Amino acid sequence: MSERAKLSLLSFLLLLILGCLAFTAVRALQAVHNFQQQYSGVKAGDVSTMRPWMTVHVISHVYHVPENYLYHSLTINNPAQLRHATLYLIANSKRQTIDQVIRTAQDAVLAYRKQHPTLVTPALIQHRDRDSLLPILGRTTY
Amino acid sequence: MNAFFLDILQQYGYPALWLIIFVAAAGAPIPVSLLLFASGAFSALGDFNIFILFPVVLSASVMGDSLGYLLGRRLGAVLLAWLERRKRFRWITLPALAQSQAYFKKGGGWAIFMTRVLFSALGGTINLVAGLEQYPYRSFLLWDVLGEALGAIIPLSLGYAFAETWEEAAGLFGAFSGLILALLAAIVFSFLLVKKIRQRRLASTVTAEVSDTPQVLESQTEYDTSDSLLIPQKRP
Repeated sequence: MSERAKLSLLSFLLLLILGCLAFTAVRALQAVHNFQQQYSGVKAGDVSTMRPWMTVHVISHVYHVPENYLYHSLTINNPAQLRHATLYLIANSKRQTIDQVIRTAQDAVLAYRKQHPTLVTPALIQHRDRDSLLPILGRTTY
Repeated sequence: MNAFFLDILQQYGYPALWLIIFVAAAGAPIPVSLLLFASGAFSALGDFNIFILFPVVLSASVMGDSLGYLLGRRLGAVLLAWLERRKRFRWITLPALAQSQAYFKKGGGWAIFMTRVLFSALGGTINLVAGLEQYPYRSFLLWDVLGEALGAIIPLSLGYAFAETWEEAAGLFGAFSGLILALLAAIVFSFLLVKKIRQRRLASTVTAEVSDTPQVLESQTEYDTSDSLLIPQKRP
């Protein structure tokens, strides 16, 4: 291969890599944005942050709703067997789509919060005191 | 596929995690990094113990890597010898193999370490290559344990720290790993290009100087072309 051809090949590869660099930089920015969005959503107790990998135990821990309440809402009769089952597995066992199961769990969390409106996390109380915002649904303690 | 592995992880706990990581380290294409993030997150949410997770992950990955190394050493050497005998590929010759072994011996440690920490997708291949190149097992084990320890601590601790958002944290980690890889490649290629351009310039300068000098030399010297070496002789 002549020197000129080598130089052209090297320049072409460098251009290709610079393209990749720009692509990965955009991807990294998007990942930062996604992370920030999800993180703030979870911290605010937003039920739209519920994911298929979550188990009933995890949902109970993250959204501060008693496990038994969730089992009842999801019509799970044998909680001991499905204690470690993800929502994905629950959906499979109930022959429902994952979206349906997530929606049921989200509704259960919101219903529980409606039933217990006084149970609000200290973080949200501080936030409201500082910024004098209207009461919003957030993470609850039980 | 991720949901399948996460289900197994939740249902069967540590033994399942050990087996999955072992198989992945031996060369199977399984997204181990994601599983490590998930395990860290599950330990923060009370399903696993982070202090048990670490030795489980480390032992599984080191044993899987060793299996890959052993396969490369036993089967790879036989395969290469056969290819060399049969002359299937022109470039597989004994000197070429010796040269590649020497090259791997020099920089193999870093390659093993980096494929455990940053570029884990290449880990299985590097294990096979290390075995194939007869890289000393003790050195392989040392770099492997160091790399796997760091490669396990990072995702486990990030998963533990960002338990509820481990998926996004894993995405962030993956995106930044890719960015670092692309940045390193861009730096290396820029360096190579600059070096090549300089060499080219230098060569053109030397050519220009040489094309100037013979006019002076020709007037003073005469070359004896009968010999293979050009010996300048003083004109009488």
